[in-house]
Amino acid sequence: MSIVDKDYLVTSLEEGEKLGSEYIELRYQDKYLANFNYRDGELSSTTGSREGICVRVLIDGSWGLAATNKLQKEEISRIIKNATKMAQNSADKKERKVELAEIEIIDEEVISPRKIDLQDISVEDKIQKLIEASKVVPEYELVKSYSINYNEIVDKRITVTNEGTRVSWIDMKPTLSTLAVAIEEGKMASGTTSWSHTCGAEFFDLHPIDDVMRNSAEKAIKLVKAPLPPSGVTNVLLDPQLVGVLAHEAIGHTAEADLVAAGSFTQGKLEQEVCDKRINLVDSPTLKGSNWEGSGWLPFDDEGVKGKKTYIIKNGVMNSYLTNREYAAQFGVEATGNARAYTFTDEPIVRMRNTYIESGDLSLEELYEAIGTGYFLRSLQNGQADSSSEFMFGAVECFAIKNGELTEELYQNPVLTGNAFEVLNNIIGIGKDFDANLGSGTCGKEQRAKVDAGGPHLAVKAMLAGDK
Amino acid sequence: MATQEITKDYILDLSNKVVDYAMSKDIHSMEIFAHYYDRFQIMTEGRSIANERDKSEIGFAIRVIKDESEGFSYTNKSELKFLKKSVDDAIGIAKVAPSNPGLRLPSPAKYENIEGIYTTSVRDLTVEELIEITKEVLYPMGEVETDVRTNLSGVTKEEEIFAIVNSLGVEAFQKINSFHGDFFVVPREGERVGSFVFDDFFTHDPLSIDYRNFGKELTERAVRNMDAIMPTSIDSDIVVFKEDAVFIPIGLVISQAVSALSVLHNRSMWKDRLADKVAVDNLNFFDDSQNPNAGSAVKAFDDEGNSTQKTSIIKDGILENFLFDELRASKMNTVSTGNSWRGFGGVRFLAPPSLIMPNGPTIVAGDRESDELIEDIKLGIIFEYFSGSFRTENGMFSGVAKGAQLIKNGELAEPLINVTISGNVFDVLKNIEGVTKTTKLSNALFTTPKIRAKGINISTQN
Repeated sequence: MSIVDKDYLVTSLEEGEKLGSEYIELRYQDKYLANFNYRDGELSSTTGSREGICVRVLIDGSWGLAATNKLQKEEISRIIKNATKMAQNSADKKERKVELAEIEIIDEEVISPRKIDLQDISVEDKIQKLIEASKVVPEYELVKSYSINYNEIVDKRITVTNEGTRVSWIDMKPTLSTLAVAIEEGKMASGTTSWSHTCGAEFFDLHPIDDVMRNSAEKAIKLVKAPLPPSGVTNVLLDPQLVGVLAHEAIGHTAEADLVAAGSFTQGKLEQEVCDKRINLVDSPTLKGSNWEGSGWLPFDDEGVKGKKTYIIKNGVMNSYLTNREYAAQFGVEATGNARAYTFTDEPIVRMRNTYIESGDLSLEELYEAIGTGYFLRSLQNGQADSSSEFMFGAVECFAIKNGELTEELYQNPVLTGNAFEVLNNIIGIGKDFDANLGSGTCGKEQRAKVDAGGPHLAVKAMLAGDK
Repeated sequence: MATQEITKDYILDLSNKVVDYAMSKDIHSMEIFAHYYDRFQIMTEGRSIANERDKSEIGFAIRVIKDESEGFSYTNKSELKFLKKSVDDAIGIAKVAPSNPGLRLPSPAKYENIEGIYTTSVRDLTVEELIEITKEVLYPMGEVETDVRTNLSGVTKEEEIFAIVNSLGVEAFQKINSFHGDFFVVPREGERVGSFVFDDFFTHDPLSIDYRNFGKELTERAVRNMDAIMPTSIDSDIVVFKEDAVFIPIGLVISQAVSALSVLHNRSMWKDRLADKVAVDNLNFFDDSQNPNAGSAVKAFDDEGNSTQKTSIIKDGILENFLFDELRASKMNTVSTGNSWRGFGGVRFLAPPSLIMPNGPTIVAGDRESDELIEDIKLGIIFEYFSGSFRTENGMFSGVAKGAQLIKNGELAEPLINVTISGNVFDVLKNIEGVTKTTKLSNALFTTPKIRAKGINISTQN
């Protein structure tokens, strides 16, 4: 048991005020991370936790931030003094004075949705599940190497401020990834499959590890002799995973208020039509699936702001930025609850949570027909985007669609690129289904964050990068 | 800056107590790894100072071996009772982990003293000097008409301590400091937004860098992006990879291909290629593990306590060596090359030493000036970094050539957007046509010259 609770932190707030803080915030975090990687019969494991406190003070429109892993009162006093000194030191060097948007003050404790606590399953049982699942691999003769990686985060957080905010929450997020490497006649290809949710040990029933391993093995075998797809602008059908990446990487980041302030594509575009009217794009603190919650679940952010569902794009019109309190004040809008810090040493910056495009009205068959001739891209490999909304998504599989029908003609390593807003202005059709899976559910923007993303199948026109 | 005092005696005494406790249990061997960091940062926003941050932390990683099985646990609580609990947790895992024949810890070794890895010039940098340096980087951004702004950028003065004690007698301690900067810059003119540009520096000698020039080059690149055009087609297969574009994908693919981990697990195309020709004659690649200027991973010992060394990997195009950690060396009946890693990122005590990477990967400079590299190219492209997809297993890559510029009749022509490239890294190595005589440390990790290669697919969106 830690010595730190809300009351322990609250007693230090006054100290910061006495030193001149207009605003002082203390964050405590105890983050347990376990990782078990079973690779070709070898186990590499990690279990442990990091505990620490971060203080952030605002003085004369200037932030100071200091963090420590020592929890004693005298150390908290030291970092408060340190943060105060830093805030005072940079106050006269800043171009812009920081102000904070008004928020509803909350005193609340929350535990993330789960049926069975992850820690009710022993480490031994979790390791055993991985070993058991690996027994399916020999069924696939071409698979010469495999990895099964399971990790779980149990994150306890407390935020208190001198404005009266007192929030704490415990969050559990399991993640599973499998990888298979197939070799045939000197050619090599890999297949990967990943899932991450906010839930408990029911995760193992949602995604039986042997099924996930089989999925990767089958992908690798199919791809081993597949060529790159031809390059060119073409009709493309994206699966929900890739639609999620489009929503998160290519649109979502351009709507993060800190990037907007730095000049991203959406700067100055609030209330303007930015894409097809059928597009509704959401960032939400919750995303409920059949038996799980999206891995971006966030009841309040690290500034203690209650999360709310935010339409970034509504009916094709730029509706809202994603904000923390600082940028909400700068843009004169409401704070959306998107200030997130991955560890106690990190500054809360604007991050997404669960980001998705809402469903339309077409069946998969109707989407094939709408595509006519083109390609069906499935399974995320990686994705990046620019401040201008130029994006690049790597997919794992690419099937040809001919005459409105899906064929078995398979290509590997397709890369889709273009300007996201232009792509969303050239919508061919929106599926009526919905799914969310951003793979391992991790976004890296200066620091990591657990996020989720998804949407329906989506037919668009875009540039496919591959062979000549 | 932080006043936390972490001394050599403190860490080694505490570590030895933990080793004694662990070895009183029924285990074969154990290791404790300590990592302390203190990072002082000046962050920027737009063209201004944003704030100051100070973070410090010490953490410990415990690894035990029992009956050829490994258990691992970590904590950032440095009281002995918590470390003992981590030992117990690690033993608990070792008891249920499958056995891994060949598993062993390093034996004591002599560590070279790497001059210049800890300097007084970094240690003595004051907050005021850090602010002045930051302003120097930002200054050129205010001198151009284009609205050029930084985001999530800044400079960091960092001090780190790494220590390893194991039950076989290894006792290693290394203090490192560095000064580095990471800058993302977005250009904008009215409604038009250009692609962002990124650059970084890493040094143990803060006086060696012209910070205003660093900011000026960053600004010029950002401004140039505003003029980028979308070409209709480029009928060429010649590409010049600038340094960051060599690092990813070429550097990462070859670094993984020579890792004994990839070799042992059938994930390397070079598995059976030792002593074979894998690249053009003038390509030389080695791990410069003890050169203080070869990046942030350079230190006297690796992440499990083996001494680091300079290892030739590719010499005159011939694959000479793979890189090993203790386990993989044991399994392949050889000795470690000191290349064990605990993962990427700034906090190193969270994972066991399960990766193999070069510590100071270096592609050797060639004999061409940058302009000589392009002077005989009738048509081709040069680009700054790769935004795309690549597979370390088979070397395939495809994606966007960011910061691209057309090369026409031996000269740099218009900047380009929406140009994609694809190919295979292992083919690129055989199609290299030139290497510059200057190198750059890319991403604080990979030293490389610019490289010109043919046989690359170049496509456009028009």
